[in-house]
Amino acid sequence: MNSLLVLDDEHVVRQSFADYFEDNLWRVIQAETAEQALQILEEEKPCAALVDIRLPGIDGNMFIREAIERKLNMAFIICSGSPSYNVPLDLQQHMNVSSTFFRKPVANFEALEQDVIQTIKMAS
Amino acid sequence: MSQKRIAIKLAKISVAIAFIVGLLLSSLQVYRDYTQEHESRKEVVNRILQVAERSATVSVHTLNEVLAREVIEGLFEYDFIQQAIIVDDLGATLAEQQRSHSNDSKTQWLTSKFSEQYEEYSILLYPLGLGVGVPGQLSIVVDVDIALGSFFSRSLIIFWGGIVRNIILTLLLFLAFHLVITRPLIKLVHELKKINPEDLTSQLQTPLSHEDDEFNLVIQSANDLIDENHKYIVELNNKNKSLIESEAHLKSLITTIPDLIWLKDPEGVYLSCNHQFERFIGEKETDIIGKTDHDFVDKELADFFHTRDRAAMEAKQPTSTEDEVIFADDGRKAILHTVKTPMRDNEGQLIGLLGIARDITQNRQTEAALHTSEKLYAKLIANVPGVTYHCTCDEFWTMHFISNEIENITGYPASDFIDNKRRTYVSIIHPDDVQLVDDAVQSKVQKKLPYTIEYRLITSSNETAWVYEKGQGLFDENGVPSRLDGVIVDITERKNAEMEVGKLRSYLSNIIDSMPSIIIGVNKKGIVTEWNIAAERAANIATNDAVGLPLRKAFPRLASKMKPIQTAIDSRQEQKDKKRSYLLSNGELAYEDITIYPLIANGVEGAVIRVDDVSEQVRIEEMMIQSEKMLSVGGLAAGMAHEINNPLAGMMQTANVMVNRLTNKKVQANLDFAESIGTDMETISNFMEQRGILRMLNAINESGERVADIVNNMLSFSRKSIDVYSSHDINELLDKTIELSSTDYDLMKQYDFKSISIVKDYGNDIRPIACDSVKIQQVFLNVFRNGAEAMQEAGVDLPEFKVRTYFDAKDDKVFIEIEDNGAGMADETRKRIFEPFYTTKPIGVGTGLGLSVSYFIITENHGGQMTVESELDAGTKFIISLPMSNLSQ
Repeated sequence: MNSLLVLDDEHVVRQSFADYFEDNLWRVIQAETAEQALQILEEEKPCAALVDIRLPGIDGNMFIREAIERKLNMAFIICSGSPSYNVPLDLQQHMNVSSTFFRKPVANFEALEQDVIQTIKMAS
Repeated sequence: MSQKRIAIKLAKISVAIAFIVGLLLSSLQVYRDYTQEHESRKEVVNRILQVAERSATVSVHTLNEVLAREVIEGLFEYDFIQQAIIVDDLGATLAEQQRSHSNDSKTQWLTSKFSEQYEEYSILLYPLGLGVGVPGQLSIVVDVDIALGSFFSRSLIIFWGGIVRNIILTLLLFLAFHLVITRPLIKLVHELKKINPEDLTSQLQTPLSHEDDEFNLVIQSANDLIDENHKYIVELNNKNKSLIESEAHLKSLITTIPDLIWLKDPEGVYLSCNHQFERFIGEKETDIIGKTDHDFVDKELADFFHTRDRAAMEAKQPTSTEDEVIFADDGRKAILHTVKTPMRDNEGQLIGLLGIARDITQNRQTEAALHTSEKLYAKLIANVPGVTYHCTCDEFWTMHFISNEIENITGYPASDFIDNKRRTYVSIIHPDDVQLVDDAVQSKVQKKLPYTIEYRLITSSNETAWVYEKGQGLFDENGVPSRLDGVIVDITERKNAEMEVGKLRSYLSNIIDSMPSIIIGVNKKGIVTEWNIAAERAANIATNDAVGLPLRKAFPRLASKMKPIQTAIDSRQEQKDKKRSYLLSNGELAYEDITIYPLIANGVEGAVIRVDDVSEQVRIEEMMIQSEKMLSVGGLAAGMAHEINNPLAGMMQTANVMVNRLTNKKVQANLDFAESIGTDMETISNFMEQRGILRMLNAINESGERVADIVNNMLSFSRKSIDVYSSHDINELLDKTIELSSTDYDLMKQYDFKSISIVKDYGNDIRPIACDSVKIQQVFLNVFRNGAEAMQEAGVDLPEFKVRTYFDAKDDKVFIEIEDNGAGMADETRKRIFEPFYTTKPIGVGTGLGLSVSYFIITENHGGQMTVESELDAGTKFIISLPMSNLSQ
């Protein structure tokens, strides 16, 4: 069973991602902050993480950098409501970071799911 | 007496003629008589011989001497037979007789003149007429003188008769001449003798019975002659009388003439003189005549006079001298101008010397004064700043005087022109002006008015000199203009300056006319003085009509500006009224800048009004303001987007999950939970469907999408873009956009984009350009969408896009043109097409941001340009240009 860490400070948004992926038989772990997510990663090893960028405390980018630092074998998919966001260059170099940047609201969950699966394959 | 001589002469001539003619006629008759006489004599002799033949023949053959004698005696009956002889056949004389000769014939001398004295006739006597045998012979000798006796007596009568007849004729003729000619002639002479030279009034009488003949003619002619003579003499008398009178006049003239007149013979003796001369000598004429100069002046002077007189007499022509003399009578001094003329008779013999002397003292003084004034005058003329002249009014303007100033103007000395010596004045007039000068002068002079002309002269160095000429005609006694007097002034500099001014003026007016601004000059009273082409167009009044009109009439829109104009003039400060709005005739609002410049040049009071149409500028400015507004909206949107997007995501994504859970039969959880509550997915989705839950969820989704779109579009106004510009092939981007368009949901919703034919004309020399491909595609998509809608709206049967790209090397720009064949748009729409929220569509359809965003992307984000060309019913063409480099960022 694939597992997915959903990192988003917006509860309703996080829950909607979780609901969808669970319906599609994913094991979903939710985290409200990057700090919380990093703590979870100490214990669990999800296949992928869906990361919001603007977060209280450590932001999404920093979280991904931290996670990559820990050499966790997992995929990262960025999803943000910020229109001017671009994936930083250092992150783009990593194969396990999806080149596709999903903007909220995500209208097409299927496409998101496909990208997550794709990135997991790229990461492994 | 002549008349007698005429009669005798006539008689003599007629008698001589009658005599000669009579003699000739008588001689002719005598000659004729003679020839007849000669013939008849021969005949008579032959007949006599024939008569005697037979008897003689018989006598011969019978040798009958008696018979022979009888024959001969028979023959001697004729007195003219001198001798007869009959000879027999043997030659023996049978009978012979000879008449004794009497030499007393008085006509013998005459006969011998034209004939022999004797003629011999003989016949041969053949026996019995047989004509054979030996004949005998009968010979006779005829005495011609006797035979001609009767002829002579007849001739004598003829001669005498003729003489007598002539004498009678002569006498009769003489009588007749006397009666017919001599007597009337004598009468005529008597009549002519009656002519009295003193009294020629009487007429001659025609002799009686000669009224119809030549005498009458003679008398008439004589009468006519007398008449003529009479008239002539009367005339002569009259002439004589007037001659005497005129001689008297002449005499008094010579006497009273102020000149001294005298006449000397070749020896110097005075023959005549007049009163003035008397005064000079101091003697009376009677005392002067017959004397010489030696009698009046001392010897030395008299000798001097005499020597001069001799010289004058030898000269062929009159000689003149000038001397200062003293009048003897009053002792006054005078200068005499003396002309001495030698006088000669018809043979050229010198007969005297005529002297005429005039007192020219006064003249000399006048001349001296004149000379002084002339000098003054010449000096004056030399100082006149122009050429003075005096010329004949002819085709050459023949100069009689022209001042030296002409050399300064033309380079030709004045003497060249005097009497056309080296050149005529007309020859230096510019060929194009010759007629003009002639016309101008003639037209004025005919009216006896002074003339003024400006024309060109060609100088010696072949340059053109402008001159001003003023003059007037001098007229002879018949009023015909004979001479012209005038002044010519060099005005080349003035003319050049004038032309320069003219050139400058037209240059300036060209500049003013070529300006797009309306430029109107007004004077202090607000009357239009200047009106350029832009003003003509704007007010629809031609310059000629506008100048002179009050401004409020010529340009009613500016009527309210009279006060600012006054202020500008008074304060000498420019007045401005910017972006003044006014309504066009089509109801649209237009804007103009009005600037009033006071004219502060010396002597000119007025103002120049400049009106510039700034409608376009105002519109662009308004658009810029709008863009600025949008930028701040964009900035705001960027800040807000995250905050809006998160709740929006919560809402929309949750709705999505809801739909998934309510309808997706593939999700195991759905099936499991449905079963656990005793139902199935079929029932649930049926319920949801029937109750419109899915539709509602869909509405949530769509509304959320629209919110997301607006936020995205508003974000586009944000100048701050952190997009990385990468190189893209514009043609490829276009192709991608076209492909995308055909699947565009919104477009598909309206109509099938695939039914639009797309004509591509891509430049193949376009290098990849650095741009934000997504945004550029968004622009293309917006343009295609706009065009597709326009074509659909217009209901075009064969909708078509023409897409053209090309590279402009000069500006280093790529041009993209997208043209549709839709309804096009009116000017007002075209001008506002890029304004944010401007839309021609009904409210609710479209946001009115599409083209505005596109404009913004091209101009602000990419430093390019975006324009539109369109006409109503003629399609629309968007032109986008992107710089290859030098982005505005």
